[in-house]
Amino acid sequence: MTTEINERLSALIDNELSSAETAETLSRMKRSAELRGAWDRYHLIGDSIRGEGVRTARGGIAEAVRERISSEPTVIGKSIPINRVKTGDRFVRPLAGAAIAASVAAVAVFTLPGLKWDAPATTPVQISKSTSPRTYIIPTGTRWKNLSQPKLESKLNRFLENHSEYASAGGMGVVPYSSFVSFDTTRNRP
Amino acid sequence: MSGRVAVYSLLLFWLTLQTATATTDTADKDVRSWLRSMVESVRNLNYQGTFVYLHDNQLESMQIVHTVDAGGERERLVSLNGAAREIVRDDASVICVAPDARSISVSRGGVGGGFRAVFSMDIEALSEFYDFQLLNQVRVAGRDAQAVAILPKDSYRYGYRIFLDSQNALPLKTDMLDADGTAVSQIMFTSIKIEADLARTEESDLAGRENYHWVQRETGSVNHPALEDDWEIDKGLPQGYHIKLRTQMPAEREGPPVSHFVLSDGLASLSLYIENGGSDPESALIGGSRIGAVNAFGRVTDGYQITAVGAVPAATVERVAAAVRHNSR
Repeated sequence: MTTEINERLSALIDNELSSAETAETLSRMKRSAELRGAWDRYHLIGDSIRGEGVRTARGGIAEAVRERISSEPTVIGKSIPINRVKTGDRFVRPLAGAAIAASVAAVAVFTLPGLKWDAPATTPVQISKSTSPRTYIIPTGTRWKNLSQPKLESKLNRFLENHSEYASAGGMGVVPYSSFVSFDTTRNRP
Repeated sequence: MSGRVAVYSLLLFWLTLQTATATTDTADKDVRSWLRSMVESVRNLNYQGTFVYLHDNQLESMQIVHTVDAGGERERLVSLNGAAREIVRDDASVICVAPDARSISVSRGGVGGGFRAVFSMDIEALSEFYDFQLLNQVRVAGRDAQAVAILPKDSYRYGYRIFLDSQNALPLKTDMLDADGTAVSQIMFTSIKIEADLARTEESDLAGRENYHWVQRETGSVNHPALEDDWEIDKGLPQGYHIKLRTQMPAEREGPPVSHFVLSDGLASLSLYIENGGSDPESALIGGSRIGAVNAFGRVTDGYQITAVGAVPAATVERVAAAVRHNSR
């Protein structure tokens, strides 16, 4: 095994090869049991350096994968770039993106060491799914209840303002005027 | 054996009763002096602070500056949320500035200040309609406070739970309570400064407000209630409420002036407005409405629009509006 192919293998693990080089290296691995063994060892070295001794129990993953693939029927499909999908549905791409993101998230959740995942996979937790759309209005002032006539609201405001002048002397401090200061004076004039 | 237990129970009950009566007597005295101090402090101390006002799940914050000097009392109240509405009140006038409505309303004539005597808190007289209780000591706005309660004896008036500053009896927190004891509005200082030499509140900044809609509100003539006999109101009022004064409020644009009556039980107060004839259907109130702790109720009788407004329960404005009778001759 040449140094060149070893470097190729190492670069493949680090995802540094062009697609042509990747294809060529993979096809060479397919034919060479020695390369597949080297692939496993490089991974084992990398894992050990990172302190992840997870592959020591079983070597020969590449060999096992090759055996499995050769026993499966070959599916010949036409590869179509995703941006050429022609379905007329503009939501396909975002949905595909979401599906990928979701699968990545799921993988991340299930492969993180030490993380416990107790929720049953079949019933995803729904967070705040509201049944009807709500409008959150920024309050601009206090309004009279059950009234929709601006003229009447304006008149009642005038009455309240006038009343406050007399009620303010009750010795209760700021109570009487507070309702005036807070009410909605934008409706004070029709 | 059971006889002895019964005797002990009776003795215990009697002792409890005695203790309760004794504390009520002294507590009652204390509440009265606390409330008298409060009325004095609110008017005679120099203070400034920020308070929050909660009503109908709406929370607003306001700033108040109150000063007293040889020129008299002066108070400035500014809304810190939304439009900076403000009220500047002194012994001679009340100025309401509403930047959102671009309006400034000024009323002069000293009516507000001149009628303080009408509403001075006469605790002896109030005892007929309210119970007074001394509650526990708590901490509000970083200050020690004594809580007192004014509880109505019927459902025609609101009660209060007031937390008074232990040192000067200023109301640091005021809860207005309905008949069930639920707070219908709450006012609480978050910070307050009491300073003898607090600078006189600055004039309201009127620069740039030349284009505002200025309203010079006439305060109208004040008549003695007894001189008026075209309206009969006193019969059928909720217990304890009486007409304190009557004024003529000028109509907003044209038309005859609005008759205005101020009613009070000595603590709660409401106003009754009677508009003469052909009330605009767009501004007619038939039935009840509410804004915060303030209730309003309206009805039409003999072509007059009757409207009662005030920080009293809905039952009170309804009954007051219903009590009005026109003496047609």
